[in-house]
Amino acid sequence: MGKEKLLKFVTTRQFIRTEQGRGLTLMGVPFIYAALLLAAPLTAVFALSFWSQDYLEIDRTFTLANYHEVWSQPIYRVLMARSLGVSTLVTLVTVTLAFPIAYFISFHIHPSKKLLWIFLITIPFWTSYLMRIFLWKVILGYNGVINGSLTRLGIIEEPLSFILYNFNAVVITLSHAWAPFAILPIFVSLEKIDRSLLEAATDLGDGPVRRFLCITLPLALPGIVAACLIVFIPTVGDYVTPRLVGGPDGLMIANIIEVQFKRANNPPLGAALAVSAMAIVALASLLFVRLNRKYLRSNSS
Amino acid sequence: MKWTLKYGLWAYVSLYLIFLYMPALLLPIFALNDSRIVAFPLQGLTWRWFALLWETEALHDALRNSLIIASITAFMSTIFGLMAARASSRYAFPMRKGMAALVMIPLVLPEIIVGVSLLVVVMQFGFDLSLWTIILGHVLICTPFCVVVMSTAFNNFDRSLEEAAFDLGATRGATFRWVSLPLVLPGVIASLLISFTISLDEFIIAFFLAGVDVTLPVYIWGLLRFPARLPSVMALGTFLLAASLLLLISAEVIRRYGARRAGTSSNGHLF
Amino acid sequence: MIELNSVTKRFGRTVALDSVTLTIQRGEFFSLLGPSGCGKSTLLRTISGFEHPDEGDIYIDGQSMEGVEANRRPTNLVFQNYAIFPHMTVGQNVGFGLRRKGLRKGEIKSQVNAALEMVSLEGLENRHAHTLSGGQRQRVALARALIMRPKVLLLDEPLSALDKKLREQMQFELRHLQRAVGITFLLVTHDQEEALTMSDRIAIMFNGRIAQLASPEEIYARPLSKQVAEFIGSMSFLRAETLSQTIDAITIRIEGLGTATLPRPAQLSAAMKKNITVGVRPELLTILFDPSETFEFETPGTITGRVYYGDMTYYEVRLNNSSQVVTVSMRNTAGRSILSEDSAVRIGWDSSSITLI
Repeated sequence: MGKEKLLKFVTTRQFIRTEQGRGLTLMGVPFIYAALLLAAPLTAVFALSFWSQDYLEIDRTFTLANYHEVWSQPIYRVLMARSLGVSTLVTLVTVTLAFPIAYFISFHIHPSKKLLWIFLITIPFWTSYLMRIFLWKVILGYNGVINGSLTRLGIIEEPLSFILYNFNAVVITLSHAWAPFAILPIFVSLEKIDRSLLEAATDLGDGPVRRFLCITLPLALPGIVAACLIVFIPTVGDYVTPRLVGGPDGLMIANIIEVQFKRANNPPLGAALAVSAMAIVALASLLFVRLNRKYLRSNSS
Repeated sequence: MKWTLKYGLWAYVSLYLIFLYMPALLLPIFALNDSRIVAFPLQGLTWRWFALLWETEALHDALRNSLIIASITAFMSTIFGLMAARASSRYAFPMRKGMAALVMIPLVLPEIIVGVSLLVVVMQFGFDLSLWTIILGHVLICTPFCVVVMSTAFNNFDRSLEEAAFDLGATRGATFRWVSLPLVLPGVIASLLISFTISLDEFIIAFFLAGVDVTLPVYIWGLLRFPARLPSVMALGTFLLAASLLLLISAEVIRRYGARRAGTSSNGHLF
Repeated sequence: MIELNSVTKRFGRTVALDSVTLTIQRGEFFSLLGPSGCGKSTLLRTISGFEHPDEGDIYIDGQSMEGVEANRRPTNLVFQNYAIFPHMTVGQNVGFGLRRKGLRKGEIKSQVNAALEMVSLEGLENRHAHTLSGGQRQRVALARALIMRPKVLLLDEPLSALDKKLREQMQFELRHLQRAVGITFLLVTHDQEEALTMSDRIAIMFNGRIAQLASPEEIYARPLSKQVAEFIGSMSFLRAETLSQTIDAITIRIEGLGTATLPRPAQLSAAMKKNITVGVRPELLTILFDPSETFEFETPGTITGRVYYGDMTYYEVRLNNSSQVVTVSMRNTAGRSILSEDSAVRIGWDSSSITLI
């Protein structure tokens, strides 16, 4: 080992022995992993979106053709708009339905039983994701649980068509699939509320409605925001649900990305779609967080 | 007014629970239903779909692949989670927040993006798709969950305990082995369980990155297109639900045993 | 035993230790006393090896501690919260250090028993740590550190988590324990009573510097600065004027109290300024209840407030012919009544009551 190399080796070892060095070394391993397998691949996707597919080869001359196609072809615009529409609606439905549940567990359940209730909420989600989605197809289908029962009971004669293989079916199914992810963050934020604040409000003569609107809801807002983001972001890119219960009019952006990468063999176009979708999701999330912050600030002043 | 509110809430919660449990309750019903068609009306009781599971070789392969992937993923992502959580809760160093943020990004990234980007890299470098390519993707998406779980464990951890051990002559390694690790063990177990379950159930990344060997969800995906095989899929689902419930309950028992041993009061009990 | 040579430690811009130089003798019970944030805990952690000084050297038993980590230093620390390992029994806690040394099981067991006996916890080795009371936890922490036979035992506010009764009892026990084992004890505390009752010597710290280092009696009787005087016990400060001074005596006139000639204290070798401040401890003043009682000096005053402590009463007395107020403590002996506010009183004092600062 050369003298210089030895010196470098020694200083590296000394650095690892400092507090900073230890922290960096520990964090470095997962960081490098994420850099290699996430940051680098995402960069590759980004680069790919500016190239083009030439039969089996990839042509690496810079082009905006993919983006031009993505943003001008109606089919992609429709899919993108539908994905965003589905996610927004699913987020709204899921979080609205979840809030009373989280509130109920946090405020009406004895502390020793809370964990049991959380467990109760999550049990249905210990089955395969695919199977849960598929079972909704069974529930909502022509001879499904709902239509079958209603027909036999003589309440309806024809199967209800508004829940069959369409947008609505996708929303119902996804709202179910993401329920615990909305309940848990809201529950956590409700749990953090200092109960003496509520007693103080009652003491000062606030009624239950006022107390809820002025204290509970604003304090639970961080949890609600987290729940919205946790539900919104992944559902935009959901692949399975549209394929299983969406029918031809329920397909979403992930399905077309998959088609470009596999069957249509046009990865650059798929990459441009993926990048566009990511950009829109990021923008929508940022906007949401920004609006929320603004609301909080105007509320507190 | 107060009473109607309370009963209204209870009624709502009951309806919601029916909504939540509807699919899960249908699983065992159709798994035991003596009909090739997964629909009502029910035809009678049978165990043959479970027997069929026992005989299907491809299913066993897929299950084995999934278990291998989930085990390795759980192990790797828990170690990564441990390192990242430890680094950010214990040490101050430049770029700490930025580095942690990159590790956490998969949490807010649609899985299809992760799958696609890894596929692009694998294709570019001409690697073969295998169980390992799936594991790489799964570790990536499981690590953030492990970081969250391990951070909670480390934040509740009293740092002077480590200093005490070090002061009593233990090396850094021995301090970790005899003091830190036993005290965050419940977190480690939770992290292993969570990452194992996520990996076992993950479909999209496995769908994109699977080569010849497929995972259980990818195998099930294939079955969903053949109506004749659906009852056995139901039987498989029932089996998986029962197995994961058993795993979860035993994990909780271990956790409570651990909590009693460590003397930390756990907030709330499952049973 | 411990030598610190201008040890300096900074955290960012704040200077936690400002060139601290200090020597602690073998077998001494030494206390670092100061308000929170004065650097005393940093000093303790620097000696134990958890912090490393930016400048200066530390020697323990003649050996430089530079580059020696906490686990290799001949010191052991009793933590403020005791840091009892919650997943171990009392015996496992106490034997932890010996196990890391690789001693045989039988040897560890007998040493653990001896250590537990020393802190009067015999028979508790199989108890789980979380079943212990605060006082017991403290004894376990002591036994766990002492079993390592350190050259110096460091104690970081060891009594602050205990209630008053137990704290007083442990003060005696710690002192006895230190005598029995003969190990150098270095105690960090913000409680002046703890420092005064237990220590051979005390270093008072403010803002990362040692303000005074002396025996408890010396520090109490002759504080070097107003800051020290205020921190230790209570003291009334009065404006005064230097009338004349020689090499061994100073004559001063204290506003409202009177004129007195005092011997020049050793530490005040320079000439005194004209306008000075003097201090007077409440117990060195007396309220004269009986007209027949006489004192070297007597000064009239009026009671403006009082605090009753059971055995003692503290009076606030405004001196006549002045706005200055002094505190006087009186023992509530048999037959002595508690004076009411606005009573006119005579205060008795002599020249030894006055402290020049």
